[in-house]
Amino acid sequence: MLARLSVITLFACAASPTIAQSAPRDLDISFDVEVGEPLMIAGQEQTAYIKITLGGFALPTAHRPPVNLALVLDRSGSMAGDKLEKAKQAALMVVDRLQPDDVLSVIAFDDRVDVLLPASRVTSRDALREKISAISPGGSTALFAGLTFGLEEIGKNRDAKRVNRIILLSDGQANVGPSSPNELGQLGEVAGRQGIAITTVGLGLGYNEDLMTQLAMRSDGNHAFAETGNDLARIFNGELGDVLSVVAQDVSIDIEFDNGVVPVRALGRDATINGRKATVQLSQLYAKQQKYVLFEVKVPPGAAGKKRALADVAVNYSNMINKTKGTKKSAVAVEFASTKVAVAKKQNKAVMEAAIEAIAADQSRQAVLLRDQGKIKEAQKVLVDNARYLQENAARYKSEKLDTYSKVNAHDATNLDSNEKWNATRKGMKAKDYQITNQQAYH
Amino acid sequence: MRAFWLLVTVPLVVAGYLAVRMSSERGELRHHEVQGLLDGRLADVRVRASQAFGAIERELDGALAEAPAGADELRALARRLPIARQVFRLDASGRLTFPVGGPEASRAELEFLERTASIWTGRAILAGDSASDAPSRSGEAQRRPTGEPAGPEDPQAPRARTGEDVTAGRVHSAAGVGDSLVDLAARKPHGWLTWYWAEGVHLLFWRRAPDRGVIGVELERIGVLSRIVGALPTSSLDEGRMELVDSRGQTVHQWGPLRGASSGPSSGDAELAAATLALDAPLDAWQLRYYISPRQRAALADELDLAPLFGIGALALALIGLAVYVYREYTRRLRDAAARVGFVTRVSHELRTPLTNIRLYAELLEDAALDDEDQSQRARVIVGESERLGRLIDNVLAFARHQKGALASRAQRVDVDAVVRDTVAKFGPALDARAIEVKLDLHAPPANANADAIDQIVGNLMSNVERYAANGGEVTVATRAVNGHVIVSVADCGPGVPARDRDTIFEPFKRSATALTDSRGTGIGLAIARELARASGGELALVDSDRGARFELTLPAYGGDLWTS
Repeated sequence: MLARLSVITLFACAASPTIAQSAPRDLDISFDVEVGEPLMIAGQEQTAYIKITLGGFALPTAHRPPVNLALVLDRSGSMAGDKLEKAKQAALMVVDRLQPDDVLSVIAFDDRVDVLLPASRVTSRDALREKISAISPGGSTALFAGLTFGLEEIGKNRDAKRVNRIILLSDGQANVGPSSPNELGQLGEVAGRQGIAITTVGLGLGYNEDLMTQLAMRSDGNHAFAETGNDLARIFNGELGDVLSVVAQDVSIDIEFDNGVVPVRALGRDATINGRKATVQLSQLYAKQQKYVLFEVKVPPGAAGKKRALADVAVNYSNMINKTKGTKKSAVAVEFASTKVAVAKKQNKAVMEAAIEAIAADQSRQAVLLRDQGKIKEAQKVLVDNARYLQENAARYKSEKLDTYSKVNAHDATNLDSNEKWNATRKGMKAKDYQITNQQAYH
Repeated sequence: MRAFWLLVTVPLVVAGYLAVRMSSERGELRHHEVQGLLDGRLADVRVRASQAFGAIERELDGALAEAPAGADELRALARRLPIARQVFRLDASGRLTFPVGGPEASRAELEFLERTASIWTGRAILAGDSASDAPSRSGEAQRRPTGEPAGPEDPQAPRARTGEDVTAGRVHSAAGVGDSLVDLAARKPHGWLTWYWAEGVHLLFWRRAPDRGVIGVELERIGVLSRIVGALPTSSLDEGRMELVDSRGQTVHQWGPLRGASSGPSSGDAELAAATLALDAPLDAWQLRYYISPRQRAALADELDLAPLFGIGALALALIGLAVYVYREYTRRLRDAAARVGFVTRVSHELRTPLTNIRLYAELLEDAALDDEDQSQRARVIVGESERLGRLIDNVLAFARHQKGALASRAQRVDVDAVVRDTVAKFGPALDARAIEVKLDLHAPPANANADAIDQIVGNLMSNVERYAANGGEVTVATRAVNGHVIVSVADCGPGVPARDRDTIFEPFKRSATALTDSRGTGIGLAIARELARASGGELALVDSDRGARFELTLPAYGGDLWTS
């Protein structure tokens, strides 16, 4: 009864679907639920794309939530030289940018783990600088154990009022302890459920991008590919920018689809679909950043002129600035029309763009899979088709973004032959795919 | 000298043997002690793991206490538990009410049902019954972790087991009952269920629900592992290296200063763990291993072993020191003796020339003074004394030759009696002068010896009589044949040889103590005599006698055993 009432309320103020319930409007996240084609052709079953968008508000100056950050640094033998030096510089930069209120821990690992700095407030920077500078390379890569102790250190100060984050930097294949992308993905899941995001930075061409993206994806962290140590400072800066600007975390989106509307899949993001219900977890939302979830649904035929509700959506989150729990609800509906012209006129370009991009990212993933199996020709075909698909839609929606992505696909298609080029290309594709899928702010 | 070395080496060997035995016995003991020490260190670490696991158990127990029955609540519950993979719910009749298949189920829930089908369909599985009525799924990994002791189940039997029941050994008794999770829950409030699937050991925690059903949660294996590893140390002051090894024998986490062969991904088997300890059930598929280098093990074992070795070492050192001291003393005396011999030899050679001249001129004098009895007598004394002096010099030179190993003796047929008679005759004047009566009793057959040697031996003996037994007034020189030997005996009636000197009188420069005041001897006469006797294949010995000293020279008879007494 209450639910239905709120839906009616929502419809009443359809012009402004965002309702702040627990915080002043200017310090609260934005929440939009849109559909790609609000007007659909009557009389046939169709596919619709629902986009649920969350937007972080601008962070009030000098008013950021304290962070609980763990730097987990690979110091295995392959890091020796420039890579490790650059990694240390990046870590030192992190130390400089933190405030006394922040908690930092630093863990270095090879085949052993050293907790260089147990979780503590950043007070004695000099001692910490010394410890970071003294990291020396050697040994193999106990990535699982390194991360575990990162989690352990984060766990000591984990609370909803802090931004909990692990930044993992590795240049290699995990080879001590659980090492498969699936197993590390599970660890990411465990971390994500505790509100700890793991951002993974892959350095050079030797790391396992599947493992690193799985870890980041399952914990809702970021993933970046640094071809050389020189990129690290930029990536850490971007990451820190994210970390220092978290405005909401423990974000949970619950969707209940209307009777008859069948959710087919969530594009990109991992969603749990139980019949007509679906749940998506996001661990963090950054200032001025948009994150969205796309659902592909089947809509049963409807009569022209009739309205049809598609889904009720609710979002629960912790507002990190005013330290309150927030809830927002919204709903989305379509109307049926008899002419294609009318449908086209009403199309929501942003939603369609995002949907096409996500579908293309999915195809690009397929291409990686095929290439991994050695099916170079097939992979090339998928990429070329993908580029064409993007190109067509770029023209239809006049989208520069899709056009660029199309060119990237076309370019990638030419880099599948040689193994050396493929290694770098694959990492680039994985990172790009990840950033599209997770709407990562920096690239 | 050989005896001396035996005296030194025998105790050393005995001490060494004892040391080795003691050391090996202690080594055995110490091995056990070291093993105990290593096991103890592992047990200390295991406590941490057990505590971490206990914390997980308490968390789960608390989180599941409410035991909701609705699907949405159960899903929300699973989301709240970081290490939960899937929550499940059984009603009082043991029927799985969540998750169930169908359109409502998420992909993860469907996968869970597939993964755990054998648990829900076969009641016998929980009881660890035989494989006959248990569904066997082709997708399921059959292997057990290596190193894990085989459980009570048949290896081909289902992999699921209830940890506590197995460890309590009640499996077989429970099997007949046809146990199920709900039945189990009637007996105890909560428990664990482990089974093996593709990735290794899987853990289910279950708890009795208020409605007499069961609520449970399948744990994220990696999540549990991470919690356990997070409770373990990252460094250690102890020597060696510890590892946590998962059910596939893969090192998950290692710490400690020893860098081992297993720093690489696949070389872990190269070393043998010094100690291993399985984690407590239900994590007993995971093992703690302790590696130490052989050197470290030896160092551990030696810590207390040094004490007895020190004792034995000190004894050996003392013995060797003593031996060295005695040997040095002995060689010093040998050197002294050699120096004396060298001096005497040189002097003797120098003396020979004038002595020959003295004797030559004394004989000339004797010839010239044939008519003057007095003068002739005096010349004879000069000749006798110079002959005596010549013998002394011969003795000295013979000894020197012996020292050089050149005391050759050419044996041939010798008429012993004649040689003895001649020799004794030479002493006639000297013995007369001392009023010593000579009794000859000669019955010897020819001997196979060297006449000069016999002359010198008997001469030395007579010389001793003249020197030391003068007051006896009598000396008996006898020869006889005994068992193919010729024996020459010289027996005086003097003071004899004191008992304590009997063993040493044949050694060079050992004069009998009574003779210390008497400086006339060179101290080598008897030694020379015995060496000459032995060089001729005979022997010279001091034999017991009623009075005075009695020496017997034994020589091989000529023709050997033809002669019998």
